[in-house]
Amino acid sequence: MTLNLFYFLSFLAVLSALMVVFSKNPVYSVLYLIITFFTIAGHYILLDAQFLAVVHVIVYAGAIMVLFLYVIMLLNLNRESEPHKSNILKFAAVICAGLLLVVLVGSLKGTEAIVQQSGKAGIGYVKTLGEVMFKEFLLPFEITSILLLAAMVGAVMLGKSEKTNDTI
Amino acid sequence: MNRSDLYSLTPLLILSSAAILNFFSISIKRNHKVIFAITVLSLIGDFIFLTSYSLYHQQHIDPLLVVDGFGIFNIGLILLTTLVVALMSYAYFEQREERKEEYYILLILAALGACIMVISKHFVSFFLGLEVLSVSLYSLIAYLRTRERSDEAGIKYLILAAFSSAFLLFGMSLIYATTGKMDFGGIGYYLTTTQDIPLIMMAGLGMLIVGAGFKLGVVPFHMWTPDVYEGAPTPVTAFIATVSKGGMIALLVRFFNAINGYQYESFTNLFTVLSIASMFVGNILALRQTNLKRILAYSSISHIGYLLVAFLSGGSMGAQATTFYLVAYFITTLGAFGIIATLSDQHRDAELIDDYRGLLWRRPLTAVAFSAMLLSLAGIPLTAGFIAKFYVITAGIGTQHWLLVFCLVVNSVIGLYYYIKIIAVMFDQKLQIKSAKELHPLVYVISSVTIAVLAVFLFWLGVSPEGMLSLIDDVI
Amino acid sequence: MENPNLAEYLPIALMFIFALGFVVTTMIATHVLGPKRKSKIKLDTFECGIESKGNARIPFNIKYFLVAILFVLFDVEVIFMYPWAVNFKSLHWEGFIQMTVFISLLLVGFFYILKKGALKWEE
Repeated sequence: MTLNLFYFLSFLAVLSALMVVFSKNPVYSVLYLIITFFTIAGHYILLDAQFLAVVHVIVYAGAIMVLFLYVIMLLNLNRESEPHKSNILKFAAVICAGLLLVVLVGSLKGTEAIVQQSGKAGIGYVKTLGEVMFKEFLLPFEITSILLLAAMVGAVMLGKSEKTNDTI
Repeated sequence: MNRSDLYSLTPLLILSSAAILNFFSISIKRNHKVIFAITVLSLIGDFIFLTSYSLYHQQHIDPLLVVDGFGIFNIGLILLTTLVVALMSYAYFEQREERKEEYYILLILAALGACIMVISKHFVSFFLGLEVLSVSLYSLIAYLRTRERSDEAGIKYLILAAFSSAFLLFGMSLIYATTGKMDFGGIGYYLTTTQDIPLIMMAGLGMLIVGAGFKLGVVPFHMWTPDVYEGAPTPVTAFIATVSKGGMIALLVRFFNAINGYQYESFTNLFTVLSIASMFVGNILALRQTNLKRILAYSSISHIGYLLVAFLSGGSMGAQATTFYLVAYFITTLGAFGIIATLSDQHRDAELIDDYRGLLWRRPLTAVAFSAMLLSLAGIPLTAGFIAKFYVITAGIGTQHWLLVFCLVVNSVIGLYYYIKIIAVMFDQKLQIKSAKELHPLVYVISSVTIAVLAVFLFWLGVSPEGMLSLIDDVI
Repeated sequence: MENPNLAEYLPIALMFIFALGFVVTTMIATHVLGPKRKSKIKLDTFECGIESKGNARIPFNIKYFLVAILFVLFDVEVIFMYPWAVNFKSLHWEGFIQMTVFISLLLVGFFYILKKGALKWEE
């Protein structure tokens, strides 16, 4: 059952990821990306990482995708205006990505034994995560809020229009 | 978290409270002077607090951070650098009508990120520190939005830095998959238990190096450097060139010492290639540039190449040479960019070589200071750059990296050419009359004094480096 | 691969299936049931009786984007509350204080956003 589900999800994930790259219309790409995110969330559940799955759906499929759509609309990407990419560039990209694939596949082959021993049971549960995060990893948790603050200032500073800010 | 942990983390707490204070201050009323004062005072106060630590202070905040001599030294370096950047930012931003206040928040947060990075001994804190640094830098680079090139630079840095972060994360996860550990010590321990590194971990470490290489701007990951240097506001450029790169170097030193990476030939070979490529590409591409910021960008690429020679030597000698080189490079780079910042006017930075034609006759002191900075970058005796380079070569010879040392010497000669070329332009007799809107002279006093202090340090380190050397010797 | 107890996820899966199924059925049903008239005017984009012109993608105010980004930031903040809420009892007051620090840091940011009028629409 689990294995069949895994194959199904993987097939769907790879297929929709390919469609993201190949579809001509950027909005379709985004929609396929949503499917990809959902399938990956499914993978997380299969790996017993429920928190990651939920976060993935909420943040990525929910919030980040909205940003994607906004960006696409801001960019005004029409089919005609898409710049022609040279073939050499495509060739180089394919070679680089292919090399990465070879490295990853090569290194992942025959490593099942190593990988399996490191996973603790129940590590992906919300409860376990909370226990770890609020005891052992408290400091990073607080630093995260600083990180969000930095992003906030940056966004407001760059996104706010010019004239209205000089007063106040 | 107990009291001594908190004591060790106070420098970070001071920085974050300064940022928060700035937040409130901006929310209530924008005032450049107030924000500037808060920033400078908190940085100075933080540094003074830092000096209260003993150099042999060692506090492990398990599992994430270790506040030891090396970390404290680097935090001090970061704080002072940020202070200098803040000091020279005042005049630079005062001329401009755009909002200037958020700049200081972002600067402090970026410094905070770098501080976290240099004391981290765990992937989580390393990555978080790096992200705090990078996220602040994204907005800092694009800060002067109305400028032509700043948004280009901002977007370029955003995309490439995010990409390199992805590489870093992927590498970390592969390493975690193999070892089940994320702290440097645990990974080092795992490596002692195995004969040779498993392939998957090798791939992980390789990706880690790719990610780090992007942030350092070593060849072949250097493409962003010139554009970002050119597009960013000059003080921010100085910050990227120093704190962002130096923090990463300090982290690499800590990481490689923890996992004892020097014993693996594949890594030393990899870094050798990166180092040689950076030296040659950086110097050769710099020869034909006419934009000073781009020249300095390419020069920084080659300087990271020199630094890697010291880094590769490993051991305490290598760490010492790296640290000393960092100090000298920080002073020199800050000075050079500081001068560019003071000469810039409201609309554009003084970045073309032609802006410096006859500078000696217009502003003799500035020209002399600038020449000193350039000579130090070239590694001419009596400057800090010479001692630093000397140290690097000693470290390289001590560990028999002959090829690297040879390349370093050849490149120093190539580098000398374009540094001298800039100096020659400054001596040019043809006067150029330029009238810029002058601010109140007091504004310039801060920048001038800062640069003067930097120049004094430059010569002081070049003539009698013993004090700094023994300090570095103590912390390592 | 580990074998998690997939049966636990059955309710969620059911919900997904129903949600998806509802959308799909409605779409098919309307196609089947509704009358079809395929004249040119019927297929035209309807825009309050005015003839439509230009592209659907027009430049719009950056404020939408700013709001979206701020939403993402606070969304991420809320994510951190789930593990805290689940462990609320076992973390006692310490956990509460930790969360308060976290939230108050972000509140500073929120205060800043409000004061700078980043969420104000008309200006």
